[in-house]
Amino acid sequence: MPQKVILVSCGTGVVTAETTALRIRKIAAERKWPVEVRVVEFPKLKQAATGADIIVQIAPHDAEDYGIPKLSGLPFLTGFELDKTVQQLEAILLTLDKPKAEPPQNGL
Amino acid sequence: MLRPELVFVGLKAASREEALQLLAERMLKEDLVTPEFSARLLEREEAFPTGLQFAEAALALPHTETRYVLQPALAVAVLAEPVSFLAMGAPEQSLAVRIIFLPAVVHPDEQVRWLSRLISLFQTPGFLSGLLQPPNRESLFQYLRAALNAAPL
Repeated sequence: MPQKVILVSCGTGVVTAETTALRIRKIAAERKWPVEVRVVEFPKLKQAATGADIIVQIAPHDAEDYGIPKLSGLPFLTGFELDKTVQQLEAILLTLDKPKAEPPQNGL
Repeated sequence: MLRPELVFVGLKAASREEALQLLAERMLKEDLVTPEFSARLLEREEAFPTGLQFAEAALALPHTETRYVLQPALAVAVLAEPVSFLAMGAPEQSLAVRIIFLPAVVHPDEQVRWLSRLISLFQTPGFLSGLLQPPNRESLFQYLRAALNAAPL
């Protein structure tokens, strides 16, 4: 499947998002997911979402619709229900892989 | 990262603000953070709470932006009495916290490995309940050092 971009977001993008991103990269390597994992601080999330496929959000877990699937990253920190979250992430990646119409490009 | 002067056993604080101020003042005294660190840390905690509930205990993982940090460090406190921290990702939930880990991070990509070790420890059975046992600074420091060295990524 083509490479997907996972955004990991927390308040400052320092401690919790970096740690979560490291864990997702490790799981992705084990499961051979073709993903790039980027860390973004919460105030820049909206802007970053336009170039991404999935958001893993730690805190705040807001109700905003960023136009792409979003799930909670807390299980990567607490270990609680981590298997379920990894399965959800994998399911979303598979869904994203289904062909969809390319958006029209400027000048074409 | 870990140093005995940043490890506290039986720290007395009436609120999370007081606990964070005490730890931040100590870090300032050691020239690890800028004078703004304390205020930014408190602000950040109110905006993005860091309480985490684990099976054995609740803890808080307060932190703030890298620009207020001069040298990487980790302050650890076991409080005499719990104080209230709000839950990360669920600020409507209040947790009774006796354990505080305050990482001061300068370069997240360089320090992510020991941060990740720390998170692994939180999930390791026995670690958090064991953390409440050491009676003094030196024994808690030794406990933490041994645990961090042995922790997986």
